[in-house]
Amino acid sequence: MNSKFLIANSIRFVLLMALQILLLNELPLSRAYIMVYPLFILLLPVFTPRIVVLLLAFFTGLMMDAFSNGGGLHMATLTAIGFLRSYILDTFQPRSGWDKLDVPNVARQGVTWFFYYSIILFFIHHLLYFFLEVFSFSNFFSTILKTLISLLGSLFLVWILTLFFMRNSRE
Amino acid sequence: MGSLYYLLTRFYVLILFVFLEFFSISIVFRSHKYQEVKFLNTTGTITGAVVGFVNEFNTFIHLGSTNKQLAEENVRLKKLIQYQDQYPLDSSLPGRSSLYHFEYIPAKIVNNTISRSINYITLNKGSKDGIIKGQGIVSSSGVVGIIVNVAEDFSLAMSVISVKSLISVRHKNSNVLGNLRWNGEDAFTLQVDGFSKTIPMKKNDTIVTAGFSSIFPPDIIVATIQKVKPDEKSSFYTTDVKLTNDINQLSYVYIVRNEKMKQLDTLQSQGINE
Repeated sequence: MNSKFLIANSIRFVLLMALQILLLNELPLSRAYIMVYPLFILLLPVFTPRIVVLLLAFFTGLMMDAFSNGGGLHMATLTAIGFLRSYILDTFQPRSGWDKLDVPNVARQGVTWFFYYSIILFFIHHLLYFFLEVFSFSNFFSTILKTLISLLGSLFLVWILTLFFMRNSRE
Repeated sequence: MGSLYYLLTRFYVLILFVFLEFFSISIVFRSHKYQEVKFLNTTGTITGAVVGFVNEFNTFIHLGSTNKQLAEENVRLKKLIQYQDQYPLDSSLPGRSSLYHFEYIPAKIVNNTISRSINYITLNKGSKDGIIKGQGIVSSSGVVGIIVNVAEDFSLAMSVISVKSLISVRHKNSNVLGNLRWNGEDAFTLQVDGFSKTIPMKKNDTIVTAGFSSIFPPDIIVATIQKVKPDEKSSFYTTDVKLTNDINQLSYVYIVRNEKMKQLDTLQSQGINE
């Protein structure tokens, strides 16, 4: 069972990173930066030890920075997501509590649940990213605007991806 | 000792988180303070190869527009030659060439973005080709950015579409000076501040480089005015401008090497110190 999760998550990591680095990073959008790679951290199985989630988040961010001149931005924001994820999962746990083999995805938890889960974590991620990127509050509203436009694009893509791969993950 | 052990076992995730976050943010802080991406950038061997692979594809897509740019530049240069044949340079005039000596090194764009707040451009020329930090980058139709980091085979430039970028420019008709910045909103619209309200300005006026710094040659076309309106709070205009080159479409650029850059910079900084 463990090796199945390991393989599935490794493949997901490679595919998401490839999508982000080869396609999304190159999109010539003038007002938004679409990021879907945090989905990797969101979809890790619930029983993954917190320290592993944290280290994986840090490593994913490091890879993103190396391939997109991030200067530590992806690393700093995704590490925070890796840390916060367990608290969000605790808050949003099903009535009967988390099952040992649960995965926080659409197939297992339903569309509504995943909708809120992804909105919260992606919003935190994007907000942190764009404010760290400008490193000041002087253009507060334009930064917020960029955050929201990018968030909309990212979430739209994330939901399409999760719905598309829902059948696979149910098996 | 027992309580320390208890703390470590109880809060090891939190402690690790604080450590990793502190480490990451210190790198972010460095890249903001010194305007450089010292570690983790696309000038490395592997990362450069991957983004280079993506760019090969992009270059192929943009072949048409690259061709057009080159053809336009050819026309411009041919006209210049004709003009110089007809009117040879008057050697008695104090030519700028004695003060500024600029050389242009052609380079290919390996990676380029416009969607971040600070956008970097990776170029395929590095310290081997004599590129140093602080050199300017121009294209055949405008200003592109400034080199912020150099590796052996690659260099990294900060695009003018960056909230940290600042380039001194001049209104061509009136010679009044200003600063080209970007507010971080729309990558196709930049801002110029410092244009005095007393000078009449209108849409489609040309903005060129001021040429005071040793980075860019003077009178290189930068942008055209899109929207200009007087700022009520100050004695300046608020000006929206559009760059004359489409940075996103560029494939080839020129790195500007000023042979007297070092000399000028040391002289100017000494003047401030004493």
